[in-house]
Amino acid sequence: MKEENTIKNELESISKTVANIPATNPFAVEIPSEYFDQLAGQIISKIQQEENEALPDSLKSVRHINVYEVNENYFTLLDEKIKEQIKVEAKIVPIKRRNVFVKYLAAAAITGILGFSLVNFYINYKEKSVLQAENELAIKEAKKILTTGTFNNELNTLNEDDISSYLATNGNDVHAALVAASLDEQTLPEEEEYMYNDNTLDNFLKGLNISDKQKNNN
Amino acid sequence: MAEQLDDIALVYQFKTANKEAAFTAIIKKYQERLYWHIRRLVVHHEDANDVLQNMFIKVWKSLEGFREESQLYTWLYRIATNESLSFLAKQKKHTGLSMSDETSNLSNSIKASDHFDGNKLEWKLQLAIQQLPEKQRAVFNLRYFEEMPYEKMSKILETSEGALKANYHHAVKKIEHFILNH
Repeated sequence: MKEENTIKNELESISKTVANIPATNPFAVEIPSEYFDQLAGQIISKIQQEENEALPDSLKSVRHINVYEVNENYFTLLDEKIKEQIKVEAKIVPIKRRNVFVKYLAAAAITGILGFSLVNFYINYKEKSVLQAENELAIKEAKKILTTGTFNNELNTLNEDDISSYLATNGNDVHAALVAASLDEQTLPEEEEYMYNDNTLDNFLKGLNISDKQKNNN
Repeated sequence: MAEQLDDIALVYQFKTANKEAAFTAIIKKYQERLYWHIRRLVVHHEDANDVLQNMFIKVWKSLEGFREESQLYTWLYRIATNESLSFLAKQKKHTGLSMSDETSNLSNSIKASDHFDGNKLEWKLQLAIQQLPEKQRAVFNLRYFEEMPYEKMSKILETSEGALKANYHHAVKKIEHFILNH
């Protein structure tokens, strides 16, 4: 909308006459009614025809002859056979595709926050000798998550509201800011790597050298 | 951003999975925008159809090597523009027409349309556009009809934003002059 207004204002400043011309397309009525419905099919068959013509005659004549055979019901029964053979439940990634990137950033920020919180907990623990059962349990939980690489599983138990509310209350955390500032979209691991390897995120965060940057900043 | 992600997914699908399904989706997504961009440059429906089909065949052949640092949308428009301009250049060479002959040839084609009405401003505008040099015509069409930002146009036409702004300004002035005098 902003660009539209900019263009309109620009045109008015150059010529009010041209700006007042109705923005209609006089050619539109001349297009055959099904032109756009059929165009893709026409182009694909033209491509196939070109590719076919590029083949030597000897290959053209045998292109659609299949010398192999399968049992009569092979394809109708195939899916059932495959299902029977699947013993292990397929890995379910319940993150909606459209939100993968947002969750990914959130995951990176939360991992960073968890990691630094853990360090801070240990420092406070030693210096102040404060030992509370709740904190001990939280540290154990966090440590377990980080060392066993089950962060993804934990993340999957969070819904978007949990993540949003966590970031809303902790979004100004200096460590989160540090992690966010260190992220570069260009260097992010591929989505597949992240999805199928639980260690990818941890390795990526290690690669950011947050601790070094923090020392430099201090 | 969403459009760009969608394009990346389509190109990825083309390169790794079902080429035809991905390519059909790309055609369906861009066919109308590209058709009108080409049509406004070459005027005739049959010519626009030929240029559009040929450009998509070229895209099919080169999409495998397409690098995602440039946007699919920008890349397609660049090919469409180049194909249209080279179609006009070939036509000019083939028929031996000069620039002014070519202009009156395209203007006559517009006037020959069944729906042409010389009293209507939208038709006068089409005639005025044909008076412009080809590249200026492309600049005017992209800005006026497609409301394209200069930044994108700059990538498509490989011209600086400053030069495009100057081109557009001159084009509008020429069109204004034509409309006021015809």
